[in-house]
Amino acid sequence: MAAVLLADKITHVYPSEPGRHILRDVSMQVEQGEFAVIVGRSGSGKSTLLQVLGTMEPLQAGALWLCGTEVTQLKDDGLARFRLQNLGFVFQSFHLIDSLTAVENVRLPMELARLPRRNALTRASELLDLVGLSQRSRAFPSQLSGGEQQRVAIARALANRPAMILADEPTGNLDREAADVVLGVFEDLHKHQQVTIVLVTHDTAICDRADTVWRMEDGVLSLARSIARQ
Amino acid sequence: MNAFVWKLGIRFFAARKGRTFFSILGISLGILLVTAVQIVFTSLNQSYDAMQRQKYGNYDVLAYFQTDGQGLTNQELDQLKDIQGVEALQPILYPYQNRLPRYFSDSLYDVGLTDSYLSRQLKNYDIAQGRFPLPHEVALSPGIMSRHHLHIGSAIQLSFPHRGLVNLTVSGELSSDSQKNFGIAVYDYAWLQKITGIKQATGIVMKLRPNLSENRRSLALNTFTNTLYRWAHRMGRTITIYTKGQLGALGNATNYIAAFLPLLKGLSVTSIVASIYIVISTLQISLQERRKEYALLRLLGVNGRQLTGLVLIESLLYSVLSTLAGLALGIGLSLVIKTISVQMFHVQMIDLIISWQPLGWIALSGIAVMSAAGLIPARQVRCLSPIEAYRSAEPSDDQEDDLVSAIVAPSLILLSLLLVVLTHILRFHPVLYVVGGLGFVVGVYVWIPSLLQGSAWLSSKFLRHLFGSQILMASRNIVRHRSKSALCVGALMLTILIANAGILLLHAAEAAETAVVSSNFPHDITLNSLGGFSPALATQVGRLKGIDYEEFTTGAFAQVINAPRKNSGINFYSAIRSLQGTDLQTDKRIDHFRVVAGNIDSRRLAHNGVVLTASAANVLGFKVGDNVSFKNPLTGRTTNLQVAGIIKGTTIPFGAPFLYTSPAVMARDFSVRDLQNIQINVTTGNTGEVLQTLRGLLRNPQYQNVELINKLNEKQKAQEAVLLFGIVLGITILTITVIAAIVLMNHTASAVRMRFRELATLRAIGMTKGRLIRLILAEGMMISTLGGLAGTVAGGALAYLALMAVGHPSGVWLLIPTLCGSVLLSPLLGLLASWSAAAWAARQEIIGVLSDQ
Ligand SMILES: Nc1ncnc2c1ncn2[C@@H]1O[C@H](COP(=O)(O)OP(=O)(O)O)[C@@H](O)[C@H]1O
Ligand SMILES: [Mg+2]
Repeated sequence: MAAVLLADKITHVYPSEPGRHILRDVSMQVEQGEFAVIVGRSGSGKSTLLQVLGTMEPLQAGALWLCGTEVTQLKDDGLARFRLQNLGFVFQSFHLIDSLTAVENVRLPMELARLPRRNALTRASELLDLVGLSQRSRAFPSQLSGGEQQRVAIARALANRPAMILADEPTGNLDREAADVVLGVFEDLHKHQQVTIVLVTHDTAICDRADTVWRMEDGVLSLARSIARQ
Repeated sequence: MNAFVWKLGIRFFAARKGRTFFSILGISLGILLVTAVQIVFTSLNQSYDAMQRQKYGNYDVLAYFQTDGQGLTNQELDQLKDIQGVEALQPILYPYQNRLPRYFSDSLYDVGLTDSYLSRQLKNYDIAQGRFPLPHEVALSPGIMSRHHLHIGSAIQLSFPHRGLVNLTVSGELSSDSQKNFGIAVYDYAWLQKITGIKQATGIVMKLRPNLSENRRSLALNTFTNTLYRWAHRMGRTITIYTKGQLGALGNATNYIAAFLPLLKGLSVTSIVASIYIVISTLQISLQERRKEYALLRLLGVNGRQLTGLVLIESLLYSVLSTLAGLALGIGLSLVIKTISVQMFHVQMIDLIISWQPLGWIALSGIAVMSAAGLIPARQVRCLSPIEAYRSAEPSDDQEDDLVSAIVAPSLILLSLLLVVLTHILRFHPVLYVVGGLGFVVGVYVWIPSLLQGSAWLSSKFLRHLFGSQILMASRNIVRHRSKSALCVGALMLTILIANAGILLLHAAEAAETAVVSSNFPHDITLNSLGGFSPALATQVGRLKGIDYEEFTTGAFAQVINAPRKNSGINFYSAIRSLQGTDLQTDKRIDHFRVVAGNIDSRRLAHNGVVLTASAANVLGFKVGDNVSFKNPLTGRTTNLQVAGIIKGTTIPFGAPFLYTSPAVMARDFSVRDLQNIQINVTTGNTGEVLQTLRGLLRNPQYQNVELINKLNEKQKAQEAVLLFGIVLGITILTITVIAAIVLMNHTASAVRMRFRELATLRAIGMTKGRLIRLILAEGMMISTLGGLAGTVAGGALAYLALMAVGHPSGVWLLIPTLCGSVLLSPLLGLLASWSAAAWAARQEIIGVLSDQ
């Protein structure tokens, strides 16, 4: 089984607060098709970890392999291309492009990757179908509810068949009902599409659905629970 | 106003220092330009007036009757004084208009003047030494004084008709630039009336009130001269009227420049409009950025009036600071313009005149108008719903204006075009062309939001395949913020419009001035003196190599008295010096006239022949073979000449001569030997050398009253005027381009800031920096291209129609390069203006923005 993500002794300090270690020797491994959840109290460093793993924060110390690539080898635009091809992101406040419709938001990463137009169109509508939004594909973000926006964001994250989806508190801005729908989508993806997911949350209710649960405490990551997969 | 609101307003104003600085700079440019134009042109005008006054005296009309013993009664003088706009009027008495009494061996011209400021403006009678004559006193020309060994205080006897000899004391000496051929004797007006028994004024000098508007001035002038002409005509009197315009008509760069003034005023108004644009756009941007803050304030219970106040405080701060900056910079700029025009173009300009009152008005009205411009964004803030504070996605623009844009604008454009076509076909008043042009411009402007949507639709349809989703996003963004985008497009449209219209009008003005110069100065060099000069100068000129020339004697002091057609022109048929002597047959002649009837045989002319110009023959009613009787009003002697030929197409300037005879006849029958002018064309010679030689000849004191007019010089002066205007136009265009660029920079900067989260998302999901930059640049370029196109179309149309209105749509081909230039340059401008925003966006780290708290 190949490791999609392999982190070794990652340490992180924000330049604005040089004395304070946000991440301390974090090591972590995520296998192909695994659903990993990171829990922890607010301020413990979960988002920072996810940003480092997502190559949005530069790696300061330690090593990070994503899909077999050592990311420190890549420079700025190289990283951008790497993210485009291999990673999908879902944020707490959705971050859709306001000027594009739902389906155009989903098509965007494919266009950036120069996927043929016809293929992109088909895949975009398939993905919207997958998250249950084929009816709302022509709506602009301002015309969608929070839950719907987040589902579009998930469809967008899946656009280029990423090796892994990184989701930072995807339900943090949603009510219980919408949150359940969104989590259902993640679970479906995990079960039926074998998508690798790393999901950060402070909501322990999700833990039951995950393969692995990591706990973050003051920048120290520890494995809380692991269901052995065959 | 609540102290808290003030505090908040000032905080908001100071929040973004970089942009605040640029906005203030942009806004100040409008005030800067108006200030500079005001200062430079006030100074130019005043210099021009001062020069005129120095050269010709500070009066507006000088008129005198040429009919013996007839003039204006006191009652008529009062009536003239009552004409609106007349400030002062003084009578003049020329008692022996037509009889030149001989005292000593000289001709002495008697003049009675009142001792007044206005009379002293008559430079011919200017008393240089001594004092103005009291009764029984006289002031004399220096020539007379020296020839007869007189000095101030000398006692002399002069004879007056019906009076005999009268004892007088010399009270003063006239200045030396009075006419050389005639001695002049100036007396007290009332005393001279008494001594001559003439109760009427035979001449008047008049001055209009200063500070009259141009319209009122010409109205007053027209009323005044028309009244005089009417009276003269009714009574069979002949009157000669000089107005200030005629006096200063000879070439003067400052004079040429004055023609551009209305155009410049138009430009300054436009730049103020541009400044207002920046105020609005800056405030709208800060409103957009603080949308949530404003909504939150609303939520917390700040009322609509306080919110309006908040925005108005910001706009007040902007306008006060920019106005002060604009005034200071404007004074600086006018110094620069003055230096450039004096050093490089030798425009005569005395010191800069900074009159604080108009500048104060400019400043006050600038502040008022620009602060009021804050009402537009203030209204938007008031309409902000508190719900906005909760929004996570940006809502799209409201669509209220779209209908106006889509329906009203095209109708306005069509109506304007219809008006132009109708004006053309039905020959309405040409001013309707300009009205149509302005309607067209407004139509295009109002149409911009629709055009934006249209072009966004087009680019998402067609350009997307070429350039990918950036174009789609860029065009969507433009549409979503179309009121703001329209503002930018409008600013650019204004710039390009001004540039195009300005260049075309500049070209037209240049053509017009060149035409004026070549009709006023048809020959290379003119030596001219109204008083006349010795023919010896012509002999000396004749020795120069490589030139052709012709000479004209001064006009005969004689009047045509048997014209078959009478009263056919007021100033012409009775003109007292309409007969000149010239040799029409020398091979050195440069004047390419045609003989249309009879001949111009020299021997015949030397006997008793006269040649008429075709127009003179027509006006007077003479045919070849007719006798023309000339009466010398001084001696009463009559001379008959026979019409030998009629010529057409003379290029002699300066109006006066209409009948020509030989110099021999002039000397024999009219005692005229002096020359009035020599016209010179340089053929094979070197103009510079010829000019130098001529200047050398004129250094002889004998020729001190001869004026040398160099056509090239005049042309150059006209061109300098055009150039100076070009400089000001260039500065204007540059200024407004910078303003437009700042508007656009503001726009892209705010667009980038507002969508920063969005841009960071794009980076997060894998957009490279290059593509991100291109996305932002595409937006700027689309806006500026549309603005460029709209401005090009509107500016071209407006300039063309303005030229139609003045009757010569020439040089339209000239628009092609400027139009092409603007179409090509406007995307570039967009590129430059959005570059810094794009680069800034690409430099930012993604993360700070995307993490949610
Ligand atoms: N850009 C930053 N600069 C400085 N400190 C930061 C920055 N982002 C986060 N932090 C700090 O790092 C710690 C961890 O933050 P974060 O990773 O967002 O925690 P979590 O997502 O677990 O709530 C917090 O104490 C926060 O204050
Ligand atoms: Mg977090």
